[in-house]
Amino acid sequence: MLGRLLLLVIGLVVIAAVFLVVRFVVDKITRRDTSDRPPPWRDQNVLSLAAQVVALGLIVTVGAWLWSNFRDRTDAIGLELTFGFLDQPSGISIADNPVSSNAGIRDAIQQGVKNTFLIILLGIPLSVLFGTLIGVARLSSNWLLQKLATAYVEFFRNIPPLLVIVFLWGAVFLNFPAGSGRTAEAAWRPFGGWFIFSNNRFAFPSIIGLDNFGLYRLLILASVVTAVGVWVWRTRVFNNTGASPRRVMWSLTTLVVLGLAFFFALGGPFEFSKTTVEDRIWSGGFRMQMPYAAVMLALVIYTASHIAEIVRGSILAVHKGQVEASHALALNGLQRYRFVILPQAFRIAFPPLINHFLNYTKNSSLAVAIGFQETTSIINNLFGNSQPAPQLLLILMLIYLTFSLILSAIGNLINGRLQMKGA
Amino acid sequence: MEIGHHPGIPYHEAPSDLPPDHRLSPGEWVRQNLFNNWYNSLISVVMGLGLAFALVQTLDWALTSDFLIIRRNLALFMVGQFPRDELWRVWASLYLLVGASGFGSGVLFRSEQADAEEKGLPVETHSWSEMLRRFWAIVAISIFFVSFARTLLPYLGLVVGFGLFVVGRELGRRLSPALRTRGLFLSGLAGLASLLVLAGTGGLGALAVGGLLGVWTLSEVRNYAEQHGVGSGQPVPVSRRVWRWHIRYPFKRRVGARLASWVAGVVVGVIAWFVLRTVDLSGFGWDDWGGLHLTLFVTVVGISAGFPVGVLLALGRQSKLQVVKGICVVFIEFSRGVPLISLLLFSSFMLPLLFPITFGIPGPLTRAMIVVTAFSAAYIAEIVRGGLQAVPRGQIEAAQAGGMSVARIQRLIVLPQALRAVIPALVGQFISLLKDTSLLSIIGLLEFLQTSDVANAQTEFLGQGLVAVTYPFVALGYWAFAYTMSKESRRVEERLGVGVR
Amino acid sequence: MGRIYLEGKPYMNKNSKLLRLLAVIFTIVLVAAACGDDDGDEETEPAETTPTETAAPAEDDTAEDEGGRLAAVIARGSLNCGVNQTLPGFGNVDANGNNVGFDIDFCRVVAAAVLGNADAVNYTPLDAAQRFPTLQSGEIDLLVRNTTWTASRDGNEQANFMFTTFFDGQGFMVHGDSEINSISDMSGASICVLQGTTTLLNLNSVFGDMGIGFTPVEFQSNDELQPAFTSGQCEVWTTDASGLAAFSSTLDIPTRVLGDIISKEPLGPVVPDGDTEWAQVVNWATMATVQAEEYGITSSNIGSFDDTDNSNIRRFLGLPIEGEIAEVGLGLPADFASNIISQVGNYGEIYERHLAPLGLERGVNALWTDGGLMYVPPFR
Repeated sequence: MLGRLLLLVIGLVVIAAVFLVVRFVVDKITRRDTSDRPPPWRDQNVLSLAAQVVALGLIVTVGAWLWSNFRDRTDAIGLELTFGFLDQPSGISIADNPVSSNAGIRDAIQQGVKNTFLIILLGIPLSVLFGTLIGVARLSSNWLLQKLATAYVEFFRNIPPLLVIVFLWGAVFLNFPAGSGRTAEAAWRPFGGWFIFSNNRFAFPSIIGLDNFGLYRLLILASVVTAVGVWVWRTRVFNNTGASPRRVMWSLTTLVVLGLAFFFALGGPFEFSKTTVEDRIWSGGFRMQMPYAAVMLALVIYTASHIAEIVRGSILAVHKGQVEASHALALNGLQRYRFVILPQAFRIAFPPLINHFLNYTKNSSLAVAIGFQETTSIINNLFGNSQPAPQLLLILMLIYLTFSLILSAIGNLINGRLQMKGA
Repeated sequence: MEIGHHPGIPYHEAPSDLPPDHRLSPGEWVRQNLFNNWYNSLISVVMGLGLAFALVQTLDWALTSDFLIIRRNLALFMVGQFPRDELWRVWASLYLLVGASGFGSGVLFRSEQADAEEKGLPVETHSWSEMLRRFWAIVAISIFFVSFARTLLPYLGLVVGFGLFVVGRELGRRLSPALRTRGLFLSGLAGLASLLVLAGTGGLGALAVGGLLGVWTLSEVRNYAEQHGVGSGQPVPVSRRVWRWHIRYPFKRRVGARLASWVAGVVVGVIAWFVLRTVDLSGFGWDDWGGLHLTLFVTVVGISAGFPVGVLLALGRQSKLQVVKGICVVFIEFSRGVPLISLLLFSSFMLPLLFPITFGIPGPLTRAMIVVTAFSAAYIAEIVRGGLQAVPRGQIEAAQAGGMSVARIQRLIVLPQALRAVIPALVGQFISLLKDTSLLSIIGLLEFLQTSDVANAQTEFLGQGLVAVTYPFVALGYWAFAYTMSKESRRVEERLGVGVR
Repeated sequence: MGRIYLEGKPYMNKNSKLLRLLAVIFTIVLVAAACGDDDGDEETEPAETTPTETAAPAEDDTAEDEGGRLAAVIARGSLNCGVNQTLPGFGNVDANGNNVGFDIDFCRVVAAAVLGNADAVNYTPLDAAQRFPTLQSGEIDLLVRNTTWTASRDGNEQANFMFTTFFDGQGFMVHGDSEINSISDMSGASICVLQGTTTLLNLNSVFGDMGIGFTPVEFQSNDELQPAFTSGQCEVWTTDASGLAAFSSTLDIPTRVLGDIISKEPLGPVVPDGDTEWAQVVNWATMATVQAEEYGITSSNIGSFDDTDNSNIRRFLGLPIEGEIAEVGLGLPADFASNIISQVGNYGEIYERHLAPLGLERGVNALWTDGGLMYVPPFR
């Protein structure tokens, strides 16, 4: 280290000398008048250049020093710094996933990333929705609702998300009837068994395509386009004539009528699938693992308590005149929120919301505590199974960094659309 | 819970000319606040039923649970593996801290009062009931925790602690104006000394106290010099040409005064450090710390050590030097882009590999604190950056026109305003770090949450599902501190008038 | 450069930028060269020198390394021991904040042997995933954390496994009324297991070989795993048989431990590779507890052996034989065994203290004289 620093100092002195000589020569060649120029040690340009060179040199030196320490230590313990281990069998099997324990570590990590993505995908919209509801409830004229919403926010905002996850999992989700056993006989099956709730898995009905399903999907797409067209048409009608638009009704009717017509025309291209449990194998329907639901909802509850505060602040920040104007237009409470307050509040709330989306993503790594096998959980498992720690850490950090970057890019994109032009 | 400041009254209620709520009869109040229209009635009924159900459940839990695991392990929850025959250190440092914070808050309160009087602003009056209203959660949680104790001593200790706070605050409020700055400094020093009591006088604590004493001496000497005109030189050069005549007598005199203050500071600091070290060479260390104590300690260290680093990073990010800016941006964005778990795993797997092979490796707690400091520094940097951007450009331009150097502009003009504006956000960061320290359990450190795991693995309590008792207990501990801090941050926010759109 | 100048631009613009770029590139090249040189030296040096020349310093190094650990521990005056804090009976923290347990006592055994003081131990709590990296980094002298001795760990992890203090095997536990009676009934079952352990690897490989599919439910700590099992989120709990026995006796629901044992789990102290002297010290200190039980020496009756005529026992306890104390030459004091026994106790005592309260039978961990596997080489 000392030797390196000495070299650095000598190098800097040489650079300074070369710089001064070059400048002197350039000045001479160009016969530039240098009388108004301050001496180098008071010249801002020179100083800033010197500072940058020194900073860079220091960083590179420290980095090189750390790297050589790292190499010394890894050599001493015989750690190979290659990524070949990614193709070795992981020895991990993942719940409800066909990837076997003999598949490569690469595949296991990919499944982990997929599971992380699933937590984010459903969780972020839900936390915005729930947070908005709580935020509005905090401003409710109903004393009880307002107090309860306040208590909710003050409670969940101030305990660690890890505890929220463990609480919700232990106090609510584990108390669902047991989902184990040959046919999960204890599980709760409302609506004639179309839904299954157990502390093992949740199941919902889904759709299985039969003959003509591909064609039907295309036709449904066309119906959606038509419905959107109807929506636009009704909006125009409203704008031109002021007649009641009833956009939702018109569009929905279009969609339902077309969907049903095509369904019968094609002779029933799909049927609903019900989850069945036989010999402990859950098949059919749409199934989710209980830990997934627990982690996702716990993070939604935690994040919603933060989002509620932002939403509440944003609602209070909406200009009072707007609200008064909506009173003058005789809008009722729901309309006032739907058409006047919330659209404006969201514009104010969105930038801080992006931060909470990022926090949500990072907090999804806490799923490790209750055994949902997402990225952190799987990589933590690999640490224990004598896989090289430095490479795994690098992969882990890069994965989350990528998630963060993508999410904030999307957030900024939406934010750009949301903000009023010229505002 | 708290209504005062942001009354949650929707706009259609606001212009009402009804008399205030408290003059209504109970029946009217219920009708207006709970059953004023059909959907509010519905909401009230549903919410009321839900609330009743939750209350019954909680009551059932509280009455039927066996709290023996907490009574037996109270010390474990509070201080982890801190050697039990050294527990006096914990109490002594707690007293020092409580007394010092009482004293410091008293001084601060009085000086703000004086400030308000001077400016003719409304003056806040001091009242203990107001204090209790602000800090009820911490007071309640302390009493709650102590109520699990099996001897009388902790009760006594708690009473003495509250007493010390009261005495400290009253003393602080009565301090003469001339001594206020020194009084504040003294309470800061006492805070550090409490760390010294805890960790032994060797090691880092001695260095910190020595350093602080040194800085104090330095500033005292410089103040003296300035008051007696030794350092009051010519104004700083206005243009680049002026440097030629600037190197004159006043400059030399100022350099002399500065040099003297530095020398005095360093000498005093080194002597203090040396004396403290000689008292106890090895120190007591923090490897055995745990429980709530460790959680609070890591949080405080993370914020207070992360703060200076964060300010530097924020300034670096604003810098015109592209290299410096680039380094800061990469560091900040990286630390903020990855979860704290991955950084803690880094501290446990990677950090040991980065020390030279000839050196020893610092313990797991020290490594975790390095990482936590870096993590919070990155967040603080972004907070401070917000503050820096809020300082009007005109101020900086005026300072530049006045010929101040970049460093002086930052130190005297920009930072004081920027930092004042970001206090609420900093408290917010404190809260989130407090919550994040629960992750230390994942790398096996015995912090507050992990004590629950450990207690449940004791042979006596094994397999009885007592997490249902210990987790709520732990959650309440986190909640009381985080809740009080968040209330305080909102209070500061309102007083500073920032964050108002 | 000159051309830019003649255009009459202010001097600080383009040519300054060019200069700046030049300087930055120059620095990078310089520093990189400096570092590259260093690395190059380190790498090429051994290649350039002849084998005989390299052999000498290398030998010096290893000698220093080997002498290092024992000397370092004695110089430090304390033993750094990596332990578990959440494994009932084996490694835990009591209400007074002391580390207690079967594994912990073997840290104390080594400290008593080397330093003469069983309390001179610094405990480092370690997660299952952290233990080998920590051991490799040299941060701890000894790892006693229910660690299974396997060939790949001996080979890849630079770990050196010592005398096995506890013979265990991976078993399965189900609810009392479960219809599962053996592994072959477990197809599709949810199985609770701790993360980052050999247990998980065994589970995957055994079930994989048998072609049985299952749903893993992984946890980081028993705090979460246990309610998951009792509430029926998973039907089967698999871990070391000792742990299952401990939990089955305390859980408030009826449970059944199955007869299937799918692995051998020899658990014992682990030291870093490459330090033979230190390994011997740890090994013999550990084995002394078993020898003491064989001789019937306990912490309470050790005083009565002061005037025994049995020369084996006298040698074992470091008592003078015909006025002379025999040195065993391990780098340990002659009376190390008597320190261990008086301060910690013999193997049977340690077992009784920590594992018997959990309802664990001695089983294969009995002395060889009682038909168990505890058999140690003679102390002479």
